[in-house]
Amino acid sequence: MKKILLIQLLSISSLAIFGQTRGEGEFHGNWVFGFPIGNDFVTNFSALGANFGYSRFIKDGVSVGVDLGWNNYYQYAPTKTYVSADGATTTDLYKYLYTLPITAFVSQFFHGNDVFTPYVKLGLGAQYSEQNLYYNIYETTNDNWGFVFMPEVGTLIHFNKQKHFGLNLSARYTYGTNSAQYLGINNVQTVNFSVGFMYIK
Amino acid sequence: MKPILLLSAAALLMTSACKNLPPFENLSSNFVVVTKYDTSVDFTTYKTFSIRDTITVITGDPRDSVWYDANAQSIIAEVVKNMKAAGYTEAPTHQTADLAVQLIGIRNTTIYAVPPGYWWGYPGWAPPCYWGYCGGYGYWYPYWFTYSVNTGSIVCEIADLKNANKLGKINILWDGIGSGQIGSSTSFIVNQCLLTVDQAFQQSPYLKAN
Repeated sequence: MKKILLIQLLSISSLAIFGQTRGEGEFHGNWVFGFPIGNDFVTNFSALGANFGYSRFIKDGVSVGVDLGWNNYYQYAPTKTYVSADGATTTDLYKYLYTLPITAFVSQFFHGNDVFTPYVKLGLGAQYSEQNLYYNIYETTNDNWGFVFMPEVGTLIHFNKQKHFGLNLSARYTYGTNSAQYLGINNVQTVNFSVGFMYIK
Repeated sequence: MKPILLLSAAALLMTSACKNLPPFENLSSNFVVVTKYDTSVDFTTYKTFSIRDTITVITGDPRDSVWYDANAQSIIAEVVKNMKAAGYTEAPTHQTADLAVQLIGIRNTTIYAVPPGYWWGYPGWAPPCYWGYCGGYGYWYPYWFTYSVNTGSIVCEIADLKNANKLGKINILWDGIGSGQIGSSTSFIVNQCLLTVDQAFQQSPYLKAN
């Protein structure tokens, strides 16, 4: 009897979550921070980023949409002599990496509880990136577009049972095919964490 | 469709509005020193050198030709000191020298035109974060304006006199170049030239007579 009651309660709870999660669509906006990985061009942590987007629910718990984000990373390199095949250069400099991924994504929201709705998300799209060097009053700039792959896991934290509005916490990995061979950059990879909101209409 | 249009518009805006450039004021004002050399040359086959006693000056002013005062002589003396430290002997006349050494000073005034809209300044410009406005703030200019930056370079060249007759040309074997913003202080310019000469030789360990 207890088991039947428990199953009934879980079923009611799940239906409620689906009903509330489904909605028409969702808007989200986040403060994004993180650090590049994969090469030593820039490795410093940066909190200079954000993203926002919109998606529509195509079935219970599943939405598809578009997302736009940007991040700035930079790192100071003290005065050093860089030796090349036919000479050398001595200077201090700033290394700067800018990323602007534009992705189409699909999200799967899972049954959580009244407070948490975990989700996974996969974004694919294009990424604009700049890889620049600044020294004295000079700059060497490089910009390019690449394909970007962006898996993400996160959870919404709800403050009321209607679940229209939630605090969003997530972690994501970004792999972009942007490259700058002369800087030793074959791709642009970052690990990011997000804190923001999601509004489900 | 509307969200996509909004995102597209936002993407265009973000490429300029959401960039936070590094704090350029932390960069050193020392010249950037670049050296290049002919990798096929064995510098130990040369033993003597001769250096020109003036510095060629290239500016936008046609009346400028050479720099020959005490400041110029101090820079020339620094080159001589480094050549001797590398094991080369100063020849009594350039006709008997294996290597010719010459210096060139270049001064430029670069004028920049800034169009209306977002502008991120030039290295040296205070970033918006300097004023306490981080996280995507940018300078917005409602009008066109222009500004200028004085930059300069000191070039030290080593040429091959030993094989000039045989080759029918005077090959340039090595260049040491220092470049950067120079402002208007003579002492700063001279100091940067001296630092450039020392650094150029220091980062060229192959440049030695023995």
